[in-house]
Amino acid sequence: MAGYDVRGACLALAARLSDPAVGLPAGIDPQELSPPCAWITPREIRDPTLGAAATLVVWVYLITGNVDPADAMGRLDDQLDGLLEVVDPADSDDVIDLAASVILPANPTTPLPAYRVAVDLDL
Amino acid sequence: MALPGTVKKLGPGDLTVGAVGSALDFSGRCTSAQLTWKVDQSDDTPVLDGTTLAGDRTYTATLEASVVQADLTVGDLIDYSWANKGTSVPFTFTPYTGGRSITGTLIVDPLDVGGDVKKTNKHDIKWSCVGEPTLVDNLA
Repeated sequence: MAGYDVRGACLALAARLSDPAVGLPAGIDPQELSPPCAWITPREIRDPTLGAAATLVVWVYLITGNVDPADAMGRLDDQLDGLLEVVDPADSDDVIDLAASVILPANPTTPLPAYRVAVDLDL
Repeated sequence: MALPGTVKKLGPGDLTVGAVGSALDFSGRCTSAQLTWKVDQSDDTPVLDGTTLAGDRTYTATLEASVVQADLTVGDLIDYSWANKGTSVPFTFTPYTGGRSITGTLIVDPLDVGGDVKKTNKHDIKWSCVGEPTLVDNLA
């Protein structure tokens, strides 16, 4: 079995999104996140190549604070623009879920508005 | 007698084209690879004594692969195939690292570019071999 570095690929994406040029604080541990932010969670490894590479599909949750719906939508739109400047939606799942909501450990009683985007990463 | 060897899934392995020292390894973008054989046979010929003379058989081999399309970087597979179209170059296909390899010579045809928007597109390679490829030991 190939030595896939799922954690490394997720952290690399988090670093790219967190870069000031994009300005989207991102991470893989929801306990360390506070909105506005992006939570990266790995979903599957697919399309292995002869050279032992593969595609890692991750879900990126774009999360904003629990503000009024119109304001939340505007903030999430901005976050989505930032994300799509860095990556494209996954081939296998190019539908962006606009009705996702996330409960972060720091605020366990309040679902937060979120968009969910599946993204392909190289392994 | 039982067959030697064990059943294996394809990969990890290697697929390269070009001369030793400047070979282009595209196995990292190759999602399928196979060496296929085709046989052309002329008609059998009945003869007076009631028997039949078998027709001649000619074998040709083709390297087939699916490769994820990259961004047209200088030196990538598309660039290589366009720059070397129609050229005979050596190739090596190692289905399993550490196992035996297939070597031979093939003619490079230029790869198509493009496909579906917002999708990772693939090239389907079908490069004809010159002569017959051979199985060799311990190249990988």
